[in-house]
Amino acid sequence: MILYHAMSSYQLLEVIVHKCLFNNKKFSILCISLDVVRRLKNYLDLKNFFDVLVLYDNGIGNYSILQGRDFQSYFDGIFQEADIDLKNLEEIYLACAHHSFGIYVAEKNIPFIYFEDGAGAISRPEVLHRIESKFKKKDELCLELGLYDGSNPNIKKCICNFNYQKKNFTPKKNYEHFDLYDELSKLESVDRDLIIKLFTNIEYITIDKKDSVLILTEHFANLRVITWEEQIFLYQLYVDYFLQNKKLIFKTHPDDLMYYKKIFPESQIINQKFPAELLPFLFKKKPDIVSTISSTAIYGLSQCFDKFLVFDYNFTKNKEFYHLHKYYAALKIISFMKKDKYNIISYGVDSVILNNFRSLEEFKNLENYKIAEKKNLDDLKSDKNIIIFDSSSDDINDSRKICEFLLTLSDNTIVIFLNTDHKFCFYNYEYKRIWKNIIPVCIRKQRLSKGDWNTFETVDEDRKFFDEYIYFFSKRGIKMENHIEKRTLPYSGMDIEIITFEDKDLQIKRLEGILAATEKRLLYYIHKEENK
Amino acid sequence: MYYLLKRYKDKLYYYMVDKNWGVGPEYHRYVDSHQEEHRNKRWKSWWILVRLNWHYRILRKKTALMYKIESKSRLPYMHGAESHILNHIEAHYFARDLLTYDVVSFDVFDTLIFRPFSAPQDLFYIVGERLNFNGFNNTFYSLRRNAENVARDVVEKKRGCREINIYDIYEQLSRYTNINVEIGVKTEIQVEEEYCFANPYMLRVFNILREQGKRIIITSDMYLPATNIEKILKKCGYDGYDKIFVSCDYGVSKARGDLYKVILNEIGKDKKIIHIGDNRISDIKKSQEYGIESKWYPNVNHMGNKYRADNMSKVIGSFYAGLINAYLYNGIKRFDFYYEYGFVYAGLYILGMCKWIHDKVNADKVDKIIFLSRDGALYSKVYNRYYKNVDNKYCYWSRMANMKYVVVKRNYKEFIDRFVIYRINDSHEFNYITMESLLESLELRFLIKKLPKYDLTINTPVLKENKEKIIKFFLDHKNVIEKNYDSEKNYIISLYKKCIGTSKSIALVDVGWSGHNLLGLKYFIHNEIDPNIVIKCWMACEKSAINNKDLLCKNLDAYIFSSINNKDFPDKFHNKRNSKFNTPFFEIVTQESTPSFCGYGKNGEMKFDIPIVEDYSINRMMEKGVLDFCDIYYKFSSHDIYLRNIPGRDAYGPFSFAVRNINFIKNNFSNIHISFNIGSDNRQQKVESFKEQFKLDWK
Repeated sequence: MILYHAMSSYQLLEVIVHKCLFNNKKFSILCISLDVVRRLKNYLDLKNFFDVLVLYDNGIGNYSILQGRDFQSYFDGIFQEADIDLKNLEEIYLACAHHSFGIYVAEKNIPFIYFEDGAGAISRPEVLHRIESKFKKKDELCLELGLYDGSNPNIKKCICNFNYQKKNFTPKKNYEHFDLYDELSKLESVDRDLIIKLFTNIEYITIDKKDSVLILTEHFANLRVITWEEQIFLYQLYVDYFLQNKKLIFKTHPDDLMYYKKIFPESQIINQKFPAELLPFLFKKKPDIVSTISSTAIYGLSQCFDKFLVFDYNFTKNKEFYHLHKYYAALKIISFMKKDKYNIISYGVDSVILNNFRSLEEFKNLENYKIAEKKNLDDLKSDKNIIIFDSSSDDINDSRKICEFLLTLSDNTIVIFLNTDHKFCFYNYEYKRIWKNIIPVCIRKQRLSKGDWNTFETVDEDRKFFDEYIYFFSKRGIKMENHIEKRTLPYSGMDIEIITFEDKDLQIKRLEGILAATEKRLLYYIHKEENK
Repeated sequence: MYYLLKRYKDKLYYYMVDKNWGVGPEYHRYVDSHQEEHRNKRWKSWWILVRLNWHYRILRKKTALMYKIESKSRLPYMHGAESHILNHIEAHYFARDLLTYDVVSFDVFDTLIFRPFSAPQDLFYIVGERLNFNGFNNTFYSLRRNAENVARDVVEKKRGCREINIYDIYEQLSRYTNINVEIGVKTEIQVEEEYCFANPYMLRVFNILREQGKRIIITSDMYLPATNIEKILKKCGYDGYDKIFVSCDYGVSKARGDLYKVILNEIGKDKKIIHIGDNRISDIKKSQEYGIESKWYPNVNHMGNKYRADNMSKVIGSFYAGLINAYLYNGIKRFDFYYEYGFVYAGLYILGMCKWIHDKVNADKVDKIIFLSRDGALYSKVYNRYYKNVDNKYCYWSRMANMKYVVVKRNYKEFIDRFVIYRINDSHEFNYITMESLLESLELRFLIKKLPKYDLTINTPVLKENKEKIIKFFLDHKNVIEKNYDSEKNYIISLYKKCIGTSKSIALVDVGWSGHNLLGLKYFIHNEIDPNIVIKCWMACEKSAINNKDLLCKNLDAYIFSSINNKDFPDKFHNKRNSKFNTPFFEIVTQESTPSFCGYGKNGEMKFDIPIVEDYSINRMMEKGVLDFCDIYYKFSSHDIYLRNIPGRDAYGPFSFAVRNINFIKNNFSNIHISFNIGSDNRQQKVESFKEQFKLDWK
């Protein structure tokens, strides 16, 4: 007799496939949270795969609610009632071991087989730790019990996908490779159809246009990573910059409530709640590209599609999407400069965004550039570099170091400061002469429409539409055209224009005055601190 | 006979109910929440009225009998940002909780949609204007309200229920007026359609539910039939619901509960239904009586009205309050206190002032407006957003510039008073400045070497004990000082020449108060640039209390009050209350996030005063509040643009309400800095905060 445990639709799919392929004849029990069961059309169909179903309240999963004995006794009671002794089972297969049932089994020192939480998760335990850190007690316990990285001594075997681990990953002896897509493909089509029917009544998905892209969404606002308005803006920018003129197909995350159809009226929405891994088997003709911001589900699908586009968690967590205009402008100006023999080096910027931009057709002329990511200022000093630079430090010593570094650069080097946090890391009073070589470039935004006429505006218009600046530094000076680019971002509701300045006059005089006054005040504080 | 009886009845009602501060609010609230009982068992309401009169009039109690009621004098919300009061859950979580139901029902008015008025019936003021029905004691507003009551009584006699439609109302109205039923109905429906707007919170909930494929129905107690409500909903962005149930179409209501019975019959009793609405009785209690679950969504006006200014005219006041209530209490966003301050207490005045400027530009044939720093920055932004009908510039001028380039030559006594005597402190007990700081702030550092001759040093405190010596020092150096400032004058001339260009008739705009800055600049332009330019001086408030020629000839004019207009404001409130602080309080909101202009240096570089960088984020927040309010007011008044003619009295209403209790300012603005004198303490880089001033003046 064996037992499988699952906490999400993905895990349920994973354990069903595993059961069908490796334990088909064995008497099996499925221990599953009510939350997953509620999402199924008919949960009794699970009986097609398992002999006994044990359902539990997933509220128990929030370990901070029920603690210690209550928590243990809850599962004790469930299994007593079902007349199951966990110690007598042949095997326990635990998907989502870092949840309540996993903790229960681990604390009882019962040996079990561990499924990694998602494709590639075993080599990235920090991701689970980050997600669970809001449940402090539970998080501490999982770390202590080794349930994030599969290091618990009771783990007999660890089932994971070797293809999507971190670069330097070496599987341990008790690791076993399991690729959900491959294993699903191995199933008889009758069995596979039975599984698909368990999750969805969609028989197949047709796409009525070429050049289509499948977008796997995430529930950022639901997790409070960003606000609802920000999630809308994020996807608008994402589509405008990277997926313009493509047929959009959204596969929504089960907890994502966003109204994509309203935002992208031409798009196709798949909002039935089923694991994304089933998608390759539902498309009559597969989309050309699969994309996501940071959903790990893409790893399980990338081999089924020709191209894939993915960012990372920082894109939302650090709100990097707000700075897309700056990345775009920097690359656009570089592509206009036609500096063929130059290297592009990134320092302190999000290289994933940079590379995703560069892979666009629009930046085809940058194809020959290799974007190298450097972490030390000393590594940036070679000749003929274009350095895309960012720093969020406001430490006066850091700005001094950066200014000193700028003075050591060759005449041929160009530095582009994205200044995303508005910290002006390249400004230091002692080195203010550097500003003579600074060229501000403005990214001006023009609203395309007046916003919602029938209600109050809910977006942060200032953050969305304010003028942004990036700063170029070159000892030799850079010749730039006055107007470099105008681009329409239809879903984001704006035109952006990259412009440089000529008319200095009054504005500069004013700025100099204000700056001088500000410096005066800063100096006062500095002297005050020094005299303490 | 009918009118005679009605007159006596109204008088009796007034004496029994409305006249007393406690009886009226409690009785109205009781009737509002017991409408069914009030119709069928009127004696119960009378009994309550008797008890209330006994309580407040005979026993003279100061505490409420049944409900918590407002104090006699309303106050602004004293505990921070209003938008945080309700603690709504985020709209997508609200929607998520509804996904477990088979059918979700929404109330319409004050739930899915709002009207921009503090009370729904205030819309009738607009309808009356559209029908051009004015010039009578019996206003359209009162006749329309009365007609609705009469129609309900008539229909009840005929059909046994009180559910009426809009035609019933206008038929009653047409009995006493010449208003054509069809025209009346059409006008009112058109006004409803134009003014109703979507509640952004519920629109999001609705859109989520619709995208998730949830079955949605609409349920309303209303005299407008379903077809009209559908049209309004569609205009507001609500589309794709299953069905609409309106009381007047079915002859049953939510208030009685029988509309829920109809819903259950049509939708199916086995379905898990939830209803969302703002009325505790008809939306919540009654639906529950029929086994329908419900969620209460607080009425934005019930929540916000108690914190709205009560000193404004009826229509503007209601429109202003309705917009603010809907904006702050709908639950879609929470705002920072300073943002709300700009939004609630300053936006109306700034928008009103810009419209006033716009009108005056046309009337006075002005061909250029010069907005003066720094208050003018915000006026200029708002003006250019909505009324840019004439060329305009934002230009640097200040009290300091006026002193240096105008006053010093014309009135040296004033120069010494403002620059020196006002800055002399009484004793060491308080912060004082040194001679070095004083001279530096006046750009007269080169005079330091002359100090010893007057028994003064750079460290000599500018205190009363040294007053005589200091004044003598300044008097003896009059010519040198004049000459010093004179050398910078050309830069100002060049600045204003460029600014004025070829204009022949200009208007200078500033916040207030004495008009000295404006008149000084006017003098400067006439004497140094062109004596033939026609110059108008406009400001928000003028309080010099002198009926000078400029005021009487309208060359100097103020939007809100002046010595000849709305004079009771400065005389009874602005100059009398809150010590000397009403003026700086008023100016808080137009403090631009830049330092004050001090004039030019010897080489033509612009000089600025101490930048109060620690206040900049607050200034920006208030400015954003102002701009957002202006956007909203402008947008929702687009159908009847006379609503943008905000009288100065109304514009001042929110501010005077905010400072009604000084603790509102003390609690929230104590750490804000404001320069009470001309020129700051450069040595210490110090500008006074309100807190320090409070300590001095209210110790």
